[in-house]
Amino acid sequence: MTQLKRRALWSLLIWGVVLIAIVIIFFSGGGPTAFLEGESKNTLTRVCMTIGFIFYFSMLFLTRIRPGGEPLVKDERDELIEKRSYSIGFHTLLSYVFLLCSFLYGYYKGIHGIKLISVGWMWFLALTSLFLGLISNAIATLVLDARMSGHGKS
Amino acid sequence: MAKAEIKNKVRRLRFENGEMTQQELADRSKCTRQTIIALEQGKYVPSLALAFRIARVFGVSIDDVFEYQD
Repeated sequence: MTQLKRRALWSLLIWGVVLIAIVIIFFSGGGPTAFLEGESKNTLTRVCMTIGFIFYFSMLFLTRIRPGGEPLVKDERDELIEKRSYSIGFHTLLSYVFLLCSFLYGYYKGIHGIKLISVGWMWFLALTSLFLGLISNAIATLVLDARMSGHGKS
Repeated sequence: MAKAEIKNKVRRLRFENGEMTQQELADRSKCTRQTIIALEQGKYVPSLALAFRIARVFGVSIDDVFEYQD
């Protein structure tokens, strides 16, 4: 397995678990308003994020390319996949932020006629966009790697 | 406009060179085995540099490995 694929799999697993945990914490017991008031929820979110980053950076360290240690684990095709997956991840992220903001606007103003919404949604948007970006990048890497298609850059 | 394709004879050349393994070819041409697999399946077209390295491993010219088709 190439370094790129190994990292994408671990990244998907780590950030997938963190994202699910954060969404559950956020919506359990009242949603954005309750999230702002509940100190334990904030602490739990920080703990989840910290654990996620510890696992992530440990994974990056453990899967690094050691000079002279292993056979070549990254080549031009991997770099091509990496570039494309960053692009897909970026566009997925843009779409997600746009769609979530549009949904919140439509839901609160259009349906309920409310002009102000809880600032807790900002924290939700910040957290989920960060992890969704990383997850979509990992998924794109795995899909592109499985398809194996492309042209090397000369 | 018709799509141009680049065909290769990597698989055949491997067998003609003492049934060289994909890993051995990958190691000698400085790429991964996954790239060799993709090349043989016609799903990936290598860069010029990699194409030259592969041809050099087999001791042939680049034209003997890759074929450009309009």
